[in-house]
Amino acid sequence: MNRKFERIQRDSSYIQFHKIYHQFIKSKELEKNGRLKIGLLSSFSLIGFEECLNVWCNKYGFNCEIYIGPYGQYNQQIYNNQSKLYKFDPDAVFLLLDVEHLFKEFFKRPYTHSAEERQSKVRELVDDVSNMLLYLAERSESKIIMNNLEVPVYSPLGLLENKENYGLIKIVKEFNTQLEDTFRESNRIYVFDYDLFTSKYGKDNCTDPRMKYLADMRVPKEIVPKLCYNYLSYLLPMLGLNRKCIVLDLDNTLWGGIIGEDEFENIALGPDPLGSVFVDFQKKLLALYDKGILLAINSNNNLEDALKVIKEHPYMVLKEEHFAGFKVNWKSKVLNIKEIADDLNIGLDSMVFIDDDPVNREMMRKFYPEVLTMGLPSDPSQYSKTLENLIEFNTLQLTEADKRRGKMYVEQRYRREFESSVTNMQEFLKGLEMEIEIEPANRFNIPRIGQLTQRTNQFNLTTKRYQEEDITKFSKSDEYEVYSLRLKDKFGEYGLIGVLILKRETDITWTIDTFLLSCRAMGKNVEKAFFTYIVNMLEKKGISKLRGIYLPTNKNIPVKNLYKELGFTKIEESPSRTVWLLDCKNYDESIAGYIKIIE
Amino acid sequence: MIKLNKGLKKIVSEVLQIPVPQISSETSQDNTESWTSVVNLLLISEIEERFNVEFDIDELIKIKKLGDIEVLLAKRGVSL
Repeated sequence: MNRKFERIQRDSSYIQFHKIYHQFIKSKELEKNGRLKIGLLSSFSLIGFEECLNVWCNKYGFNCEIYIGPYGQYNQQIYNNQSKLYKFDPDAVFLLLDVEHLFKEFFKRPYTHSAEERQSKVRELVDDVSNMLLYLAERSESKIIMNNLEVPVYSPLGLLENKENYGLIKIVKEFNTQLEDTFRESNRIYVFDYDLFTSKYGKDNCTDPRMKYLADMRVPKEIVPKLCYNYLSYLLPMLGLNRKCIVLDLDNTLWGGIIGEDEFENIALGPDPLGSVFVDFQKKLLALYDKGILLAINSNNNLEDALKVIKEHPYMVLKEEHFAGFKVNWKSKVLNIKEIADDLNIGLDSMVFIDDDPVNREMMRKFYPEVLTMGLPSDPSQYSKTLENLIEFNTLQLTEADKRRGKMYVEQRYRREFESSVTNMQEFLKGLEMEIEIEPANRFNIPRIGQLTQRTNQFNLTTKRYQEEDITKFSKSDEYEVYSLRLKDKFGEYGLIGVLILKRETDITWTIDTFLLSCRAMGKNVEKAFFTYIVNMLEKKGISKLRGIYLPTNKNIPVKNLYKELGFTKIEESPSRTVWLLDCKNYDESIAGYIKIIE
Repeated sequence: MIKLNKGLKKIVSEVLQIPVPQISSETSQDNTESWTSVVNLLLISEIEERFNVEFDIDELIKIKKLGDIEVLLAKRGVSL
């Protein structure tokens, strides 16, 4: 967060953006770390967008370059491969179309057309727009964000509007629904719910007829900063600037009152007016946990007092099992948060700190400006709203693994506790009661397989990065076999944490194209059990020789000797790669040990 | 009275990014580079907001220089 832009808040007026833009950005006092290229295309004039987007990006610590397509020419910019848009090579493209422009005659005189005609018009328009977006997606690397259409609030039929099948309002809603359906699975093309956005600020405030007729300006200037703030929520995750963990105080944050001073029965948490404020706030936090945001406690209290409330209070929504980190002590909150970050192996820059005490907040801001310290209003009934307004929890993709993340980190805390209770590693690994499950790539696990090839650095023999589409292609080809590995133990599921991709060389010799394991599954001998299964399976198919390749990077030194440990023989060595060979019948199965394999 | 006039000049200065002493009733789109047709709209709606007035579209299209806006404001009972 850049201090120069402190004055800029979610509700700042346009003129403040305008001033800051001319004061800092035009004068080239720019942030150097990171730069995004943003393209904006529209059927109307985009006035004020350049200033507002620029200021928002700089406030969040990165710089941007903006290209606004010529007035009304979004079509040409997309369908002409030589257009300035493609030369600009954007990282993100926002497309804003207005309903009058798109529906034309059908908007002006909807009821001179039959209901069937109106219905098929919607399909036709959705197809046109979708094809255009797909064309753009194919010709650029950028993320594409399309505003949906603002649903009109007026119909010439008045109160009889919804007595008519596929009436004016319905066709616009239907367009929006079908557009969303078309791109539900896409992680390149996103539909921004502009209609919902205008409802939030009031549709009357989102049009200014004079500006429309004078300049074809459809988004009034006071709305532009707010819209750009919403656009920012797509940009933050592109740069990894989204937040992953919420660190919470207890007293007067999760409940009302101070547990060290008030009686257990007297804290505010429950069905009364003040109590339900805190119950609701906890529910909001739990819903974020359910989508994969980690929760942690950072409180100055007696541990027993705090645990008593968390374990025994009948209206406590968040339980011990929801907290990935738990620091209740009399140490400084600044020290505590650092320890939580280290335990969870995440950066302070992915944390949000919530504390009702302004002194604690100021201290956190001073020591760790990279932590997002949430400005909490003094009225607790505003807590939930304040949390809802944060855009930093947005991601551009949500896999099943992401949704389970909160739970997995908590299980990891239990494992840490178990590990410190046993005397040696062998006892620890046995005590985990691990089970693995191996399955070929299928349409459910392909997104995660792709994601793992992108993200895994340490236990990754070849560090080949693949897109979902590549994995799909391999899984359909006779030349490749793709296997995934799931792991669970007595504390819970790790999810899909391993991938092995084989490539056919000859009938009897295959090469290991990719062999990787997520870092949280390392050090448990899981790879050996995985590999044993693969060798057995290959032998059944008559494949007797396996070639393994190690391509060194700065990060994958831990697996330098993996193939040796698995019984391979080195057949080639150079600084850029090591090649190994295994005769499957010489493979020693006993190295898999105590891990149960589920077929 | 002078104060409000200063208020108008302040807005113009903020939006057009020119120093207050350079601003007069004769400041116009023709002699001010930063007063583009795009900025014109922003300037007008900013003035409307600060003085709590609203101009009609036929008045807006006739605005050529700051003096025109002063006349419109006077018409709305804003004393400059």
